[in-house]
Amino acid sequence: MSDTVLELQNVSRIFGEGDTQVKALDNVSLSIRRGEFVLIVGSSGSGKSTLLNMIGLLDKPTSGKVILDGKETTALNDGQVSQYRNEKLGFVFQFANLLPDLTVLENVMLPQQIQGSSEDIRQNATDLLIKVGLEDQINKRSNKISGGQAQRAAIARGLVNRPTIVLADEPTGNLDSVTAGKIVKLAKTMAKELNQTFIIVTHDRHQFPDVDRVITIKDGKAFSGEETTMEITA
Amino acid sequence: MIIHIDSLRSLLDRPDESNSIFVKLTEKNPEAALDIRKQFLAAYANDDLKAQTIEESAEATLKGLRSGISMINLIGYFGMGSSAFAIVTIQMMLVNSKTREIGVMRAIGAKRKDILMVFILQGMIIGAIGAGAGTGIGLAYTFST
Repeated sequence: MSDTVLELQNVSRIFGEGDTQVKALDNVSLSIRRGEFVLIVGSSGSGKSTLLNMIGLLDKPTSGKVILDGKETTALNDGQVSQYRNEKLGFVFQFANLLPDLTVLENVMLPQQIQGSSEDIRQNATDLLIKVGLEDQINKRSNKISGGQAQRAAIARGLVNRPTIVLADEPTGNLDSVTAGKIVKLAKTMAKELNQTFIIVTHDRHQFPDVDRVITIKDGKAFSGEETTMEITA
Repeated sequence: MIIHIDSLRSLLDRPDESNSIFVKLTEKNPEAALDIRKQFLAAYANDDLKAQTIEESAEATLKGLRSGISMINLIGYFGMGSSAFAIVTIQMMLVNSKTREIGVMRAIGAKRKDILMVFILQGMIIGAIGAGAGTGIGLAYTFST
């Protein structure tokens, strides 16, 4: 199994046409290894969410390649992308975005249900909820739990399919500093326990003091640094 | 035998009561009916009389009936169109209010057609409930009047 789980080759994303054209990503190349805990930082409008959308297969680059777990994804059709996203990626959003009509357990079961997994879906979800410390909230409606608990459940949902990469978009952005600290600690614990690759997009570098790598995006289209137009800080 | 209606009224002593004569043919022959009408009108060419075959007579009644049915159908079509429009509007509102959930479902791997099916099924359920309730109310109204 290759050690590189994600590779972006000269990825550009251009929005609009003519005079209104905006180059949100400009010739970005990077690679992420299995088990890495990577932070993507940049100011608002820098292009970090666009980059996350590319990695998450939620958007396609104008040019360049996105290779996820050894497979070039830009030529995949909608059904293949959905399946790949389901199997290879876990998402954690700024707002936990649990489905409010479902219980916490049902929310965590959802990715495996979509996958049509033959495993014991309920048991998998329950195990993960215990791991993230939500054993007392399993059967509660997801709109009846606190923001921190919802984010824990979102992390469990992101992990339930044992994805290649968990993508988190400002996962602490909606939480107070104490709860945010707990969520960061939980994410790192899960990453270490499961050898899980995490890519976290944030505008607040200081919330994540101890990470494997920090990728900085600047000015929406350019990365500072060497020829790769990107600055990578070990 | 062809007889003028005024003569028939005198014979039957019904001066102002009878206003039509029915002629029944012994054999089923539409052509013969047309011949008799022709003979009748020719015999009383100066009178303002009207002669019709049974088909022509029924056509006038059927025309009224058809007109009534068309009106009922029009109301029905209008009702169905309104209901369909209402369902589409409700579904559009539901989709708009669920954009975040749709985004989450897409992010965790649901295909477009999976999400589309959810909303189509929802629309069908609303339609079925509406049709069931409408049929029930319609039948209840019909049998109560």
